[in-house]
Amino acid sequence: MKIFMALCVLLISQLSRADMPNNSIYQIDDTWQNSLGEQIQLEQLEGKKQIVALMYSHCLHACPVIVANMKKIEQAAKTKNKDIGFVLVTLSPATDTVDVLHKFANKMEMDESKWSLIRADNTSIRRLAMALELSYKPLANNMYAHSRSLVVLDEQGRIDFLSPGLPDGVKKFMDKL
Amino acid sequence: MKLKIMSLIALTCLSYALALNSQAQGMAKIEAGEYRPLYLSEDSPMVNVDTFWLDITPTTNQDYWLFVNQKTRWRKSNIVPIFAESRYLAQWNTPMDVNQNAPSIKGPSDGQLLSPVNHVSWFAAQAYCQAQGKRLPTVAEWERAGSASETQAYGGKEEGYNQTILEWYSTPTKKSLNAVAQNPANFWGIYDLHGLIWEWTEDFNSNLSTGESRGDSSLDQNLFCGSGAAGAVDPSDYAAFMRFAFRGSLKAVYTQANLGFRCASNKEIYP
Repeated sequence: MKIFMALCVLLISQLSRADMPNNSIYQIDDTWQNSLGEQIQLEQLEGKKQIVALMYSHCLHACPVIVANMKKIEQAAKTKNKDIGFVLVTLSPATDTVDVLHKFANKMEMDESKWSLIRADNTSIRRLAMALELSYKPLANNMYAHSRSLVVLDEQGRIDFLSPGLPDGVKKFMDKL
Repeated sequence: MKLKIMSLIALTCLSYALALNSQAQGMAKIEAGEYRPLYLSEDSPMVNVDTFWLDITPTTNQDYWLFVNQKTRWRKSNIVPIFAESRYLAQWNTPMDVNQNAPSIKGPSDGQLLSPVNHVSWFAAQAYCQAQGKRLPTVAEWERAGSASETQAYGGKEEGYNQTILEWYSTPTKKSLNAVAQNPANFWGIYDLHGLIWEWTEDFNSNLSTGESRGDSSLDQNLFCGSGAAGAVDPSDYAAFMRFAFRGSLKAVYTQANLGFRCASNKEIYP
């Protein structure tokens, strides 16, 4: 009987990410791959605020604006000495391979220790987008309609707030942060 | 003690085997075809839906009970709020533990086994389908399957077709849901797309929007206010409007008495 109880306790401790708040995005246990080819779990993003957005590297319209906005935030954070992480979730894992993401990061002059460009299977991508309350839809020709919002996660992966781009400028955004 | 547990397990297995026998199961093939989203105007493009397979019945309480016993993080007692709100599996109130000292595990009653599982979030539905090697159907797939009558792939022009669906929509959800597959199957051999529960779809929150479905300014509003219907291809298809409005009101963590799901896949997957 004691062994049975011990097994139960062991089992339960594996069920939820015990050190994470139960409303944290980091409860999701899917495996992702970043632009350096490393296998990562979302919980490895914990410890600092993360700004998350959906994108795909061959995107012509919304994504350049999203990336530009995130870069503005990065600049502003630098001057304020704030350590913030940036996460770009690709919606097109078939074409956004590790290599493509890595080249994209280089082209955009992203420091890959601060910028996580991540890919996974479609099920995991949809699950994360749902948890972030972001929507997207595949269109013809491997294009995607998707939310342009930036999601701010706190140090433990809870949603702080969603911002539809930077409508009030980067300063207002940094104040909210 | 050991004997008692073993016999209880054996009994449970037997009752499941019996129940499984009497249940319509499996998937049906839906041939590739076109689907015209109701909000499009006459000259808007049709949406192509590739051939896919769809479970012929909604996922039942019994199916879901077997799932949570394998993937225990989806048990009622283990669920975390990022994946489902607090009413998750609210209909499961039957103590299932064979061990008096262990924390009580609640499951479905015998009467609920063959009814569609309800009070499940989108995350739960998605995880269930993934565990079967399947996925949730897209809105386009669901609507293509759901537009069939008993005799035609597209039943919309059949007399009484829309009326029957609307009558169901206007009936309050019953306290206990009927068993699946009690009404005739549709053209594709699929049961209960209408008349029993509403169902989750993979992309329920992304109907054509470029922003969050609730925050997006133009299209969604056209969709939900009365004037939206005036420009639609088939303004008489109120039932489809209601489904779109309903989906637009959902969040992925919601769990409702009238909301369940079934799984789809790109190829047939045998149980």
